[in-house]
Amino acid sequence: MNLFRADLFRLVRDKSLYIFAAILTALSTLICLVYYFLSKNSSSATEISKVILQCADLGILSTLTGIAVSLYNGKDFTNNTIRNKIGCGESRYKVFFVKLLENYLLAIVFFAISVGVSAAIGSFLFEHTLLAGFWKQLFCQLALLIGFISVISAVVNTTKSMKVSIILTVALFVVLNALATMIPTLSDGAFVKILCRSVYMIVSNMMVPKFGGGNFGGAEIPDGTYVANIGMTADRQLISVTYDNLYLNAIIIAIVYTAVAITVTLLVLRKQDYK
Amino acid sequence: MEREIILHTANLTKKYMSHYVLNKVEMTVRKGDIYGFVGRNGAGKTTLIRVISGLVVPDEGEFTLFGVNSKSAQINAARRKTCAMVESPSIYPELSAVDNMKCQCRILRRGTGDIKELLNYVGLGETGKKKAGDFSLGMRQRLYIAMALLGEPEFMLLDEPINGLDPEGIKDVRELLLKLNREKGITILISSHILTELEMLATTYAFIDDGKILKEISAEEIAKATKSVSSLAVSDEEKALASLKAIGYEAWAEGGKVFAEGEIDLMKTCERFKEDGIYLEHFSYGGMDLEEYFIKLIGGAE
Repeated sequence: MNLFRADLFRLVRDKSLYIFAAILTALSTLICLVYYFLSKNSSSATEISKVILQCADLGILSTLTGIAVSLYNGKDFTNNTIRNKIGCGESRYKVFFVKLLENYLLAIVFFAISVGVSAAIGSFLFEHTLLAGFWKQLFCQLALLIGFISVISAVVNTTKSMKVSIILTVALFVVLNALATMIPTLSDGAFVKILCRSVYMIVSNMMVPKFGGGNFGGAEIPDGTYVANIGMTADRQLISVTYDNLYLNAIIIAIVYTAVAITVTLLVLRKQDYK
Repeated sequence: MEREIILHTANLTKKYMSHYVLNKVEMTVRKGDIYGFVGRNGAGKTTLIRVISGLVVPDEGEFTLFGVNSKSAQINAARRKTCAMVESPSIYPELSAVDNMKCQCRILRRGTGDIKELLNYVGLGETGKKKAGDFSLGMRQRLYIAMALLGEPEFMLLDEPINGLDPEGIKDVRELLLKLNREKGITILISSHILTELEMLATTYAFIDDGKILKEISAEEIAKATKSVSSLAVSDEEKALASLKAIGYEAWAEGGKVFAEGEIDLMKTCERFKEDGIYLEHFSYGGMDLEEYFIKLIGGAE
């Protein structure tokens, strides 16, 4: 608790925290407005839950959270203030677990800002109806974000490098995602298509904490089951799975990410030297 | 009566790849010591401080801190009685001196009541809202010492605390350390390669080179070993020794020569020698400072 209080004391005095919060607020507002203008030109009404899920599913939310975690954790290594904790008799494992909890808290706060702003603005602009499985989807998105933050926490605490962690966060979300989406349209080679589709599927549905349904659209099939198209095969056949499977996958991915990240970090910390 | 042992290292070894940074280090720091840790850059001083403060995991060996073995689960409790400053002060540059202190208070699970008093003690009482990142190096060193004092340490490990400071900063830090040792009874291990400064502080020295402790010696012993002596080559050592002692000098014979502490009165000595039938063949006067002693110890290569 003492370490948590100390870090919180520092965090609330950090201007970048408020800049991140402002960016997320602006983005959620922008998405609400985009949906609002689109719905004005459309015959069907837009449900508020769709807008909220879109805001919670933003790659930028995970990117910003990843960067924020890299910054706040990384500062302890660049300023060498990690010494003030370990040198004062706190175990390196305790220091890591407290940081992990702080990172989860930060992720929840950022997630709440995205969801809260879109819900607040959306309540004036859209229909007050909830999609089937709304709360489950929202929970899964948060779980995936937590899983991803576990990985970023592990990266920054084992490499002790803010830069490496930020680069990895941006690479995962921006560069890989963009490349994987763009390259298939630039090349006719079947091998490149298969490779890029595979990368894209891995990035968008496994590694990136994005809920699968949003990528290629989803539909309610005649028997009442909701399915989502999570990607395409090399010959452009849609790959569909039921939402129930997606929920399960999301939770499993979040748990596996968290477990692997914590295990690897604990093994590294045993022999890790600090400056 | 022997003073309490604060730190004792046994066989402490750390290597990076095949290079030994610490090689079976054995040293003992006792309560009340200002323990001067002398060595060249890369000799292993910083690594040793890092090992003691838990930042680096040793490959072999162990140490006891306040009687607690380094492999015991209680070692973290023992570390709470210490504070370590490794190379540069670890402070949050975006926070003011007071906020840095408040942050450290939370880590140490203590109240913030005496922050002002401690900042005044180190001469930073008037820094207000100025960010620590804008402080001079000397001010940052003093802020870090104030943060360390929050934990009421019984043992401070300071790595090159005067490195990069201007003469005024060096004087400030030196006076502060002496004050802490004398007024608060804090044991201090201080590493430095500015030996003239260490000479003004240390009560015990350890000389380290290539990860090995070459010698551990008290300030009194080193004063004896480095003191200025008059060296005399004479026709009869025994007679000369007796003559010098008769005049009142502390004298001894070694390696075919006779030595007397300090600078002898040559005129007076020659007259006495003449009376006693001793021929003075050669006379020289000189001594060593800590730097020369260290260079002699590591083999004179540098």
